Amino acid sequence: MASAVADAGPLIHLSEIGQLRLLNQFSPLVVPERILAEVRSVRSLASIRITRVRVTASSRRRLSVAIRDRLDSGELDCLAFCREQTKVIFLTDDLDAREAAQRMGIETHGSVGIIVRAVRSGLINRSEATAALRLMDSTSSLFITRQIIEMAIERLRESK
Amino acid sequence: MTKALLDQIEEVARLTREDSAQVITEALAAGMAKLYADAVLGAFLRGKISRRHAIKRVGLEAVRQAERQARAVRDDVKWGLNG
Repeated sequence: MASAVADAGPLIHLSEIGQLRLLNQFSPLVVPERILAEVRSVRSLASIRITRVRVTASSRRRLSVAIRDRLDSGELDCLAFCREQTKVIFLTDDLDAREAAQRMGIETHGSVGIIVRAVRSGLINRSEATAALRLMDSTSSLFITRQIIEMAIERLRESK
Repeated sequence: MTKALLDQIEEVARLTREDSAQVITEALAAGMAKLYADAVLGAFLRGKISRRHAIKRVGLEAVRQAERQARAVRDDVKWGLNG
């Protein structure tokens, strides 16, 4: 299984559509303490296996000033942790955090990717993934254009 | 209209000191603005209208955001299917 570090976004958005369990396709799933504090109100967090980590201020300071000025502290903790790992996936729905991570050479994916990958992992079937993607648009607080979700659904349907 | 929605309207009216009719009018306008932006950005992403046309209707920032999102989701779907 792939190891991953989760930002607040996927934890919140997947919980909102009742699919937090899709994060069980990652092991370990690391969540910095600062992120856990942000998502305290997320229901069913106990249903997934989480490895809690504390990121030090010195570790965060090693990130560039440009990144530190642009992202919030939870995202910075995620990037600081990822930076010190050899192979880990950063899970975030924040586009600024995503692009900063990619510039640092960190593989990054969001909730839509988690749902689609869960089909390949055998956690859900295509029909359930399509329903989950639609709920991302209609129910979750993820800010995303409907057409983009429809594009994702179309690609999922076209794939074998 | 659901009870939850009615409760929300009442709470917003109380917090903003507006009457419920005004709250409903503003909610309709806000909802319509989102539907309009979604429709325009959707048409742009499908190639039905030009980037210039989309910018004129919903603004540069909204178009850039939609482009970034589309790029991210395309990468994510590719990873999800093959990665």
